[in-house]
Amino acid sequence: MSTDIIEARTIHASAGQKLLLSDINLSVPQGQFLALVGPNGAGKSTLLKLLSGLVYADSGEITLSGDNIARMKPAQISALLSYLPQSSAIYWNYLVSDILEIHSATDSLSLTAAHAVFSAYDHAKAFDIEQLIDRQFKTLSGGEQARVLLAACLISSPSILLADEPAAALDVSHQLQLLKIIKDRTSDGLTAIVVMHDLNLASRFADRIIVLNNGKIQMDGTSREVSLSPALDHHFDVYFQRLSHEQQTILVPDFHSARPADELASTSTNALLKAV
Amino acid sequence: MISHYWRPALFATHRHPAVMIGIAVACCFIISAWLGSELLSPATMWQTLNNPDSVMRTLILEWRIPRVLTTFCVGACLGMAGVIFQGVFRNPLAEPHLLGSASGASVGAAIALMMPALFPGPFFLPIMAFAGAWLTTLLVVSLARVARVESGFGLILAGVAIAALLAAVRGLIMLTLSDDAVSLQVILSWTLGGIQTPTWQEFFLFMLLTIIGFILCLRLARGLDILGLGSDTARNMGLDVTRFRHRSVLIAAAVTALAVVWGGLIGFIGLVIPHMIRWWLGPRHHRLMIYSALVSGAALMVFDGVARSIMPPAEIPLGLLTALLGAPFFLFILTKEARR
Repeated sequence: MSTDIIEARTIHASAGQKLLLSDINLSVPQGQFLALVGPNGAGKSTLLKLLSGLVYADSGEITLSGDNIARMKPAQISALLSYLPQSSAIYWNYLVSDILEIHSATDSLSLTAAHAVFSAYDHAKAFDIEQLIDRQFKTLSGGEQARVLLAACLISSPSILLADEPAAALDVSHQLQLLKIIKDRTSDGLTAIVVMHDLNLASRFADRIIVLNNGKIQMDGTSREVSLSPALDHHFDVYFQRLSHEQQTILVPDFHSARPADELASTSTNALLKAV
Repeated sequence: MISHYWRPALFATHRHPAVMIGIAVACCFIISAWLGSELLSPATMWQTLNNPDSVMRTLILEWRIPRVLTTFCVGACLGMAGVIFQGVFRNPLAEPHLLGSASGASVGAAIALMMPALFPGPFFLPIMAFAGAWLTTLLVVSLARVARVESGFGLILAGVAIAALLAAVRGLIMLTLSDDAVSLQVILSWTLGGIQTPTWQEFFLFMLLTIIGFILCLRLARGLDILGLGSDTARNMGLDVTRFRHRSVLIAAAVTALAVVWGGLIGFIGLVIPHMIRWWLGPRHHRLMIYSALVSGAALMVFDGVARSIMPPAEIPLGLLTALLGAPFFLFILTKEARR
């Protein structure tokens, strides 16, 4: 039986006068691959930062494994959760091996340097990045950097992975490879919340999709439910043609039709749904 | 089994050229002890040291050797402070002199020196220097933070501006408070950078404080490594970034104060040496801290030897020599960073 490892209750967050998130309620069971999708500025990255304890909500409560995140020490959150930011802010010319080692030694006193080295090596092999190990991180391509950062995030075997568009800079092959790694880890108990823009990849890999728009959870369901729902078109402000392939729904944006928002202005919701 | 891919990385990331650096430090020590108004070759020095009746032996043992060792400790403190400031602000131009910390320490020390009635005893000198360095660094960082230029050139501009202000304050203090007991010339030469020659007891106290500073600095290395990955990642890895920054600035101010009390204002060592070590051994802070301390100390020993021997019996202020080397290097880094 799965238990909820992440819970968010009535979360509100704002930046100055601007409301970023409103009335967010969320329960994520252990081992689930949850894709957070939505248009730009919907609040996906903010929600991810709230769940990782990097920023705090104006009101509401977030619990990780039953503990209120606001009362947890940074080290407690770190032991449970890994956060992969949208863009790398690595400053110095670290080698890939440096980055893996820094991530692997959670405490310099509890792990010897040698242990950090070998754990980093094993991990690099598992992520197929061992050929990059003595390269400077900044000289890697965007795709290689994304793979290294994901490998670094997972090196301490966290229970939760919060990843902000990890596949955005990758080619198709590496997108599939990276998401498959996350998917495989969720089979081993990792809970993954991943911000994604590619709805088809989200539908292909995620167990559950949440659509955020205007700071609110607009849709929450299985990949199939969300993909087939006509409301999805409205939230992304584009019509999708839905093709069926091997029991999976493929969403193809239709450039020729009017935008749902435009049509919405002139037709009723029922008429819109009928059109879809 | 370790693959062929991993081997270069193992050597690249874990090399500790301790033997090479150790030999270099020893050579610099010998060179610095040799240099001076009286040039002594190693052979002559050895003979002199074995002659218990020689006046030169007393001079070497009681004057030159403690001074050379003090210079090493001053250099080590400046190197460590440079590593911390660069790491904690993620700013390659940060160093005690350019951030204004050294100037703050010098004002604190000048107040303690010029007002012996208010600050009696030798203990107030390092304490006031530390307070000056710490408060100045906090002021510079706060100004840069308000202007949202903490990690860029703005931090250095704020540091240079505050350092100029503090130089004026120090000048006023010196002019108004100097008397026969505290010579203006001595204070002036100290502010231009000049190593104080200590007694052995004073040196051992300084060495002990430097070792404590070194241990404290080394304990920051992992945090600095993590901070190099970015603030969000550092927080996610369990680092309390704000508290770590405060602690780092405090420790860097303390080692800066040590260096200023014993060596006056010596610029650019804390900038140049950490950069050279980073280019050579990479940016991991354990290695960077250890070797920056050793090489900064070694380099300053040679500089001090040169300063003592160019115009005997007069000494060229050490700060002038380091600025001759450091200022062009600073411009080089500035240009390199501007292109980034």
